Amino acid sequence: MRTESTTIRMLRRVRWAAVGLIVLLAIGLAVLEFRSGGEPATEVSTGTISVSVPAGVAIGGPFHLIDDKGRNVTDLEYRGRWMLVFFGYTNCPDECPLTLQKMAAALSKLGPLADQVAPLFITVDPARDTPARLASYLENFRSANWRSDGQR
Amino acid sequence: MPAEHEQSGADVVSHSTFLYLMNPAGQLDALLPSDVDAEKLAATLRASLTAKP
Repeated sequence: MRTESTTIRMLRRVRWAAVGLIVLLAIGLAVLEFRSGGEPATEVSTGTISVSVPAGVAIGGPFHLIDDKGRNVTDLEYRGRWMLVFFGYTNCPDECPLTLQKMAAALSKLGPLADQVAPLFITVDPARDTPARLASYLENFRSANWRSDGQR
Repeated sequence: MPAEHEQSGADVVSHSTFLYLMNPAGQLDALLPSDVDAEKLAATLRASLTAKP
């Protein structure tokens, strides 16, 4: 009888220790969350279209690429202009040509406003997509101010 | 990025299918699914470009 009650007491202690640990963990997580600003997912919405980016996922930042004329370009070259960026590759079967067509069509609809936009096609297949290949590929989607970049 | 051979023989490289609109400061302004149509894309661009001086 006595040993049983000791066991029960021990078990209770273990249980309380566990509860304590869980509470501490919860507090710790809450503090961490608070410290990081409790950033909610970044909601990017444009009219009816809404896409949410998980918190802490940074989109954008410096880049260094080689353009379709073989020149080095960085993000600084595009400061002061809008960039409409699409990642793809020239062997891409459907999605890329369709999207590039839409980009070109949308830009031509914009009229003079399009001068403020630099459309960028960044290849994810730099081994095959040489600047020359990108240049000739993008001829198919040429709008007034199309620029293309090949990643290296 | 490794290219894989599909049955069609076409090389496939996976990539995101979003259109990223970055503002003149280089920050993300809008993220558009690539199945957006040209009208909607133009409207979004126009809205963003005219909203900010």
